[in-house]
Amino acid sequence: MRVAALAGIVAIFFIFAFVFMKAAPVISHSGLGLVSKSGFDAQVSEAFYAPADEPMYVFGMLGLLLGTTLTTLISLAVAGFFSIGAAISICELAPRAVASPLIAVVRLMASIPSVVFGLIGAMLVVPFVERVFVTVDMQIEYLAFFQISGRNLLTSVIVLTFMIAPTVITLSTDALRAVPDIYRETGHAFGMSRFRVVWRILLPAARPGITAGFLLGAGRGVGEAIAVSMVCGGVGKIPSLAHGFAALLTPVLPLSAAIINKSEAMSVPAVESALFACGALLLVLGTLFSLAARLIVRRTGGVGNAF
Amino acid sequence: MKRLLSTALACALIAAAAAPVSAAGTIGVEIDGATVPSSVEPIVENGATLVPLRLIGETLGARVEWDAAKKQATLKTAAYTVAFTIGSKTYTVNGASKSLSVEPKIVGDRTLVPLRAFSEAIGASVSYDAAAYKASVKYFTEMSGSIKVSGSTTVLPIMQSAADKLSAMNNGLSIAVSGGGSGAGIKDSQNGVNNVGMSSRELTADELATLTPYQMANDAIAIIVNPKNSVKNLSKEQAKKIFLGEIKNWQDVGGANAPILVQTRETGSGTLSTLEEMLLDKEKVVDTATPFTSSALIKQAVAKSENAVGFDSVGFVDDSVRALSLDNITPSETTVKNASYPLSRSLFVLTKGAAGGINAKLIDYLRTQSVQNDIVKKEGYITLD
Repeated sequence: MRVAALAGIVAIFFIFAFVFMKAAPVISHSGLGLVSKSGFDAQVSEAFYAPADEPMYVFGMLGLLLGTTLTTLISLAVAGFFSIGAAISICELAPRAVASPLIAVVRLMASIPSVVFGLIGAMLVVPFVERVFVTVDMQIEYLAFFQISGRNLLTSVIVLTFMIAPTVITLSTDALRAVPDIYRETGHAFGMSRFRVVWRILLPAARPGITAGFLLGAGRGVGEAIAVSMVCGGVGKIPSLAHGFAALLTPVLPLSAAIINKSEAMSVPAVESALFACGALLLVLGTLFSLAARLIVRRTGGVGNAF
Repeated sequence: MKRLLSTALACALIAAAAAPVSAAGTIGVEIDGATVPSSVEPIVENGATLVPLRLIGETLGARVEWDAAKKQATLKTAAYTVAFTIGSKTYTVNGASKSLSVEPKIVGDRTLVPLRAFSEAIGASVSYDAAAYKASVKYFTEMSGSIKVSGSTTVLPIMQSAADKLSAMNNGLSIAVSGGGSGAGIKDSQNGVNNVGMSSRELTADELATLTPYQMANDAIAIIVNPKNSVKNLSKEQAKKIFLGEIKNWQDVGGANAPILVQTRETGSGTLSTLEEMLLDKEKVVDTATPFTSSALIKQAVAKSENAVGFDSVGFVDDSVRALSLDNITPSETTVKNASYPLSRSLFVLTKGAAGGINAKLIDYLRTQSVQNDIVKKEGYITLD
C-alpha cells in the first residue's frame, strides 16, 4: 500500500519535472510575460518561421489562460447551479421509481467520451448559437476585433456545462444520500419545512461531497481538450466587457485546446516548448483549483460542523 | 516473261510461307510483371527485340524527347540520359558513345529501339522466355537497400504512398519518410542526412550548386467561397487584401453587404505557408481568421458559412464550395500546368549531386503514369503533364 502511494508520488513528481523541463526554454525567455501578455497565435507562427539559428522563445499566454479560466468558471457556475438542483430533486423530491432511472442516465452521461460531446457540439450547438445569437450586422461591427461565428466562448461554455454537470450531479447525489436520515428527521421534528431542511441541514452536511464534485468538474473543465477545441473558435482572443453581449461570442483558445490545435507546428522545438509551457500552466492551474477548494472546505467546515 | 512470272510467284509463295514465321516472331514485353499494351507490336530482328521507346520509357518513369531535325530520340531517367539516332548503330549513355547490333527505326510514328541495349543503359535487367515469346524487364521490382526521405509536408503524402507501394514490390527495400518542411528537406540533403529531399518551392541558385531538383507533380491553391456567394472573380490584389484583413466587406469586391469571414489553416500547414509566400508576400493572414487543422475542415467551414472565404489545394475543391478565378483565370489542370494561374507551383524531390542507384529509381517511380494517376491525382495534386 505504502509502496503504491510512493510510486504514485514519484510518478507525479516525474510528470511535473518532465513538463517543466520541456517548457523551461519558453518559461525562462518569456518570464512573467508568459501569463501577462497575449498574442499566442501570432507568436506560434513567428516561432515556426524563425530561422533555426535564432529561435523565438518569447510567448504570451494570457489569452489562453483567460480562455481556460473563463470557460471553466462560467460553465462550472452554470453546471453547479443546475446540478445541485438536480441532485436535490433526485434525492429528496422525486419518488424512487423516477429517481433510480434518472441517476442511471446521469451516470451514463458522465462516462460519454468527450469527443462525442465535441461532435454534438460542432454539429448541433455551433449552428444553434449561430442562428440564435449571431447577426450579420454584429459580424460587420466586430470584424475589426474578432470574427463572430458559431464557435466561441458561449458555445464552449454550453458544451462544457453538459460535460461537467453529470460529474457534479453524481457526486452531489452521493453526498446527499450519505447524510444520515436522523438529520432529516431531526429537522422535521423541529417543525422545519422541506425546503428549510434541504437548505439549512442537508446542503451544509453534504458540502464536502458537493465540493469534491465541483473540484472534479473544474478538473474536467480545465483539462478538456478535444471537445472544446472543436467549438472554441481556435483564436486566443481576450473577451472584453466593453463589447457587451458580444464578449460572450468572442472566439477563445483555452490552453488544452491550444495544445491540440497548434501541434501541427510542433516540429519546431520552440513551438514544442511553448506547448509544454501550456501544459505546465495547466498543471499549475489544476493545482491552484485543488488548493482553493481545500481552503474553502476547511474554512466553511464539513459535516462535523453542520451542527 | 514466263520465267519472271514464275519467279515472282515463287517469291510470293515464299513470302506467304514466311509470314506465319514472322508472326510467331512477335514478342510480348512485360515490365515489372505487367504486360505493356501497345499499338505498335515489338519486333524481332537479327535476334534483337525492338520496342517502342516512348511507351516503355514512360512506363519506367523516364521522359522521352524527339528531335526531328537530328532524327534523335532522347530518353531521360533521373540517373541516365540515353540518345538514339534513327539509322545509326551508335547511341550515347550520359554522353559516352556505345554501339548497337541493330539500328533504331521508325515504324508508324513510333521509334523502335533494341530493348536490351536500352534497358541495360538505364540499369534495368532483361530476361527472355523463348518458349513464351516474352521479354521481361525488371526495374522497380529489383530494388534493395534503404532510402531516407525528408522535407516538404506537401509532398509527403505522395511520397509516403509511393514508398509503401515500392516497399510492397521489393523485399529488401526500406524507405523512411519524414516531414519537417521544404527548408529542412533541402538542408538535410545538403548535409547528407537524407538520400532524397522533398521541396514545394524552387531551389535558389546557391542550393542548385550542390543539389539536383526533379519535378514530380504540380500543385495550386484555390481561393474558395460558399456557392451562394455572388463574387466569382478577384484580382490578385483584392485577394491579398482580403486575407490581410484590409478588405472586410464583400460589397467592396462586388458582392453583397456582408462581412468577409476569413478561414485559414493552423501554423505548420504547407498550404498556408504557400499562400503566405505566393499571395501575401510573406505577410501573415489577418489575426481574426478562424484556423482549421485540415484541408477537409476548412472546406467544410466554407461550405457551411455563406460569407466565408478560405483556401485549399486545387485537388480538394469539389461542388460544396466554389473556387474563385484570380485575375480572370480559373484554377484548372491546364492553367496550373502552364502556370498562368497565379497561385500554382511545382513540387520537387532533390538529391545531392545527380541521383543514382535506388534513389534515382525512387524518383523515376514518382514520375511513372501509375503513380501520377493513382497517387498524385487522388491525393489532390496535379499531374506532371
